[in-house]
Amino acid sequence: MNEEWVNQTVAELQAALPAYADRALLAQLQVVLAEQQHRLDLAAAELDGRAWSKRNW
Amino acid sequence: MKTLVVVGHPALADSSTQPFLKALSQDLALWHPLAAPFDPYNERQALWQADRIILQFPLYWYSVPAIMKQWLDEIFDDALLGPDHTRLAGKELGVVVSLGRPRDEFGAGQKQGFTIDEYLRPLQGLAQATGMGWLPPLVISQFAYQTEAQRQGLAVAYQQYLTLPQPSRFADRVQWLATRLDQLAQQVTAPKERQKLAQLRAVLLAQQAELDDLTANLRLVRETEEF
Repeated sequence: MNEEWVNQTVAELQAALPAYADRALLAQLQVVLAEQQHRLDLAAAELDGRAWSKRNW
Repeated sequence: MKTLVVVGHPALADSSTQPFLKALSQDLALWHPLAAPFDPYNERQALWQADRIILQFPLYWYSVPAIMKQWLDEIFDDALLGPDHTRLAGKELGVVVSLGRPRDEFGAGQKQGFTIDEYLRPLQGLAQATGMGWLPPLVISQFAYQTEAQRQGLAVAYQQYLTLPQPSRFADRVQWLATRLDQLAQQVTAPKERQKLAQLRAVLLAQQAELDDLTANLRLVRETEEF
């Protein structure tokens, strides 16, 4: 995910959308994308750790 | 799904939380502020027609405000519930409760002594007695002091509380966001904005697909290691 592009696109859309609920939706989208990335990092690290565990070698 | 939001507030006109939530509930739920005297016929019809009933109130001395207790006492009778008290069975009962104190004051050994769940136990009992499913409460702590980012998070959490199966999983909330982005893209008139919304939605779904895939692989590895 290109975080810089996401942030810039969200900021541009927020400036263009008048409804509060829509701007809140976009703000939450950033939070969820970051959470997804965090979960991906954790899952990848765990998979890596299990693949390299002594029991597998 | 039809959601009914029953608002019990002793001074609704002075509340800053309730108008905020009301604006967000538009098109998602029926907003029903309580005002005595109640019309039992109308109250029953509203409750019977709802699939999800949300009791929304500020916590007053660790309980519901007087207007909501009066409504519960007067309306929740045999005429509403039926002779065997099953007329509301199968519906969902949720609570949106606002606090004047910080959330972390609620708990064993903390300043308020008990958890929010413990203070809401009588309403959970009501759900059990009437056969309604009990939803995990949505707690709003010190709305007046919340940052803009916190309020935006609350706005989405509230809309999800009104519409999503509860308790919701992370993947459900992602799908909800994707659907809302799609709806928003259909509403905007500028092609450039529509395109940007579609691109953001695509990133969200692609990343979720990657996460689902990785999680499935991980589950497989864990299961394999157990043998």
